[in-house]
Amino acid sequence: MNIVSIKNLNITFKQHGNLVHAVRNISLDLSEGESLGIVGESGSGKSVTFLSLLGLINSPNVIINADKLEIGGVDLLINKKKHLSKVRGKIASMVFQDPMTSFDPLFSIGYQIVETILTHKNINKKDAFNESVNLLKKVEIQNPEKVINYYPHQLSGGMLQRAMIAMALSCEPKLLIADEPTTALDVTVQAQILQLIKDLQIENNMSLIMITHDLGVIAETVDRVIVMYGGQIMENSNVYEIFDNPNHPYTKALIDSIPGQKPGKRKLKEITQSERDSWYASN
Amino acid sequence: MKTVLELNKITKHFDINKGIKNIFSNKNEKFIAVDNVNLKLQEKKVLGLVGESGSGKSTCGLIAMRLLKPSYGNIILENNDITSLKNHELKSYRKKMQIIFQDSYSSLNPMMTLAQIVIEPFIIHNVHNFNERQELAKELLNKVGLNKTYHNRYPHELSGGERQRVSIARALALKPKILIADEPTSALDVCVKAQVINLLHDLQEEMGLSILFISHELNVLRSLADSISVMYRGRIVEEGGTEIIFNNAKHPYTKSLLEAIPSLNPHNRKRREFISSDEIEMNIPKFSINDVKVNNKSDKEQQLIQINENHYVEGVLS
Amino acid sequence: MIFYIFRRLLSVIFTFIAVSIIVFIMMHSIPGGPFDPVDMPLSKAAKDLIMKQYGLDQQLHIQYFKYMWGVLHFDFGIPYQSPGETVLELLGRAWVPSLVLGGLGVLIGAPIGILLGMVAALRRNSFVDYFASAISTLGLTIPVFVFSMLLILLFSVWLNWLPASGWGEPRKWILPIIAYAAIPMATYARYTRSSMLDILNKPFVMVLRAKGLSEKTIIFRHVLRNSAIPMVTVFLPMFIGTATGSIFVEAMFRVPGLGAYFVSSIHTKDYPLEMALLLMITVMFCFAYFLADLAYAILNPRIRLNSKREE
Repeated sequence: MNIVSIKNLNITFKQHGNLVHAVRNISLDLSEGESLGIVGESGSGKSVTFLSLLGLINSPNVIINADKLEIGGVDLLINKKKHLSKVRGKIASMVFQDPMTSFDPLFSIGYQIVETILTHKNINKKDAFNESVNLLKKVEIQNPEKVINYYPHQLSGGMLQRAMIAMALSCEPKLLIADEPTTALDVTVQAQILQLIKDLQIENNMSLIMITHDLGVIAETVDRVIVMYGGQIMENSNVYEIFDNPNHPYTKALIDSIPGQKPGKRKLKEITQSERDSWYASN
Repeated sequence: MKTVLELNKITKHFDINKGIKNIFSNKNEKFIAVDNVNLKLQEKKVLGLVGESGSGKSTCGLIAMRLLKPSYGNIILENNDITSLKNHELKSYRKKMQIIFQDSYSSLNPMMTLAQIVIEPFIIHNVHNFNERQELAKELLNKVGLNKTYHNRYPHELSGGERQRVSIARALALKPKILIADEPTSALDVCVKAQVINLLHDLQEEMGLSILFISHELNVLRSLADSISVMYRGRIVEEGGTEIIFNNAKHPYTKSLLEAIPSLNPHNRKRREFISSDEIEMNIPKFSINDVKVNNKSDKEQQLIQINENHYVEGVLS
Repeated sequence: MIFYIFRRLLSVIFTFIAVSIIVFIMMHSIPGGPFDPVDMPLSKAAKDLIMKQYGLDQQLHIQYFKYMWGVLHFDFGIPYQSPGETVLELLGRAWVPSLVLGGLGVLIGAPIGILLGMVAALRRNSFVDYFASAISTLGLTIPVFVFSMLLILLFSVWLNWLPASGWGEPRKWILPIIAYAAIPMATYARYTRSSMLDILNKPFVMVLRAKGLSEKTIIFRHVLRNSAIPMVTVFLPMFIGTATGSIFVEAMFRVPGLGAYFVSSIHTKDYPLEMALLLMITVMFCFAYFLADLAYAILNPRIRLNSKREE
């Protein structure tokens, strides 16, 4: 069974009287244990696609249409409220970009992890607390018994991101969606967090969706890649093909734009506006 | 080679805020942001300053611009010591040195059009007449790739990359010799990043700029910088030519930075070992006097040792 | 923490002294005295005698020190307009209606306002939202004596449900309490709405939803608490301001409260009463703000705990 199944997803925003087609006819499937990278620049619709999957788009000005929208076999087009509460945090969890603003500043980290556990599992508070300490250990936080009582503002970005991953994994979800999880972090911390996510994915036999604009992250972490531009899918293949033999010129351009690949001071490949216009119109 | 900007033995302390409980306590804890840093920016060259958050690199940039005063040390701009100059004395020097920041949105006055933003430096330094100012501003905006249709727009109407170009245009208005760029590309997408890097490339060649490029992204610096200085916890731990650093890094922190760069080859995924900050401090490279060039103090003190033409590493001589 | 409290207490004392001096000087700067002839002119001799009796012939600073010395012993003197009791007794007597009615007004108005604000924030741009905004605007703009009059007209005259005036049985309290409740309700409705909307748009609320928490839990456990912190600091000063009585409400409803004395004591140059009233208000507000700041520091972990960044 596919963990994620999306068919012909369309998302439109009403902005100042204009209709903005943020996502146009996206279809994708993800099987159990598989890892998928979604690459695109800001405005490509990559985040919006998966936020809508979990029903997290709050705006009243949005229109979401799809032929199929399923996570773990649960149909998210009908009985929305009920089905979403079945899925969120339990079958699918999400990790966000900025860990500093992702926690409630008034509660300790431990409280917020325990709260997640208690929402989905029928255990007592003490057990939930001990589980939380173990989770923090799993994400390689030193002194988890101390850290668990800290408030978000007392921790660094890297530690908070680990805590957020711990919180996301607390109910053993089948799918982890990570939306630019390392963009706000330092380079060495970034590498550690990515390795951690990868390890945990394999350990827990989870599926992973990694949303990023950084192709380096993609090369290191996922099995399959979807390249998005202007709300559409430009290319969809496995990670080796994407780098060895990129099909779509946009993918090629993305790869060539990355600095530092060849030694010496040099200029990088730029994408022209006419190229962009041609890709936007295609498909 | 002429040195246009020099930071000489710069140290900067900050006092720490300890929260409501310790309002009356006398402990005056200081945080050392920059610790005895020496930087030399050569004419028409790009010097990359790399480090992670807390390394002090941005503080160095602000000190170089005299936007912050160092606790100790000197700032020497084209052989003039500007460290202790008062603001009105500093003004004429400001024409020679400009800065662009990471957050383009908060660097631009949202109430001003792009043309007005670029004209502002002329007004502040009282140069050119009214017509010249308009013309020059238009030229500058065109040069950074923002044509006529942009000139009367406001910052909020632009994308991140476009705003960054405006910052660059404004910085170049007074034809400075030195440009300090504090993480200008960190907040940008891959393609826009490439555009801004290329723009800086072109402008540097065309205008003979000397650039101090501060970034935490080593791969960006590889394409742009002639030499790199690596900062860690307020100190310079390694510096040298760009390719030397990439191929022959000796300090454990530099090595960890290089290790962390993702490879673009999925066939070559490696498991990384990460070293903690304690391990870095404990593994300071040691050199014997025979391996290194002269002009190093031969005591066991931890210092920046020249191990080659254009390669310095923090270590201990034995 | 102790030092912080100590410093604030010092500032209260300092404010107290400063206000007492300023008020005293201002009081005596108003031309005329408490015993100047209005209806029954006194002969000069009689007037001098009375002035001496009340110590008003002495130099100003001596009068000041004598009065403040009394204050330290909780002796606020005798009100000129009511020499049968001490100021303290008068305050005690008059404050009760104000405290009861004004206090209840705030205690009833604030929660209603909070509820209104919450609903408005949660059902943004709906009918309820516009209705709540309208109500709160009205509450803040209609002068309280007009509102009181409307209440009397509606409930006493036309509907004949409630008594229009007096102070005695609780039935008589209902209308004045409603009048007092208007401003707290309106203020809190506005505050709550904007505070909640601000919090609802924060990223961590989206994360809470992604975790699978029910909307109810999110609102009552997380959003409310975050919204409440700035509102808590507003509460005490508002309470003090209302619970000392409004001259308008008390006049309209014929309540024998403190409100009237604030104005009349200046008018009749009843120095001891004036001083006592103003000193009382000063101290209460100082404490109100002090407690509010303390509450804020305690409730907000970012202030309560120092920022210890761990790596």
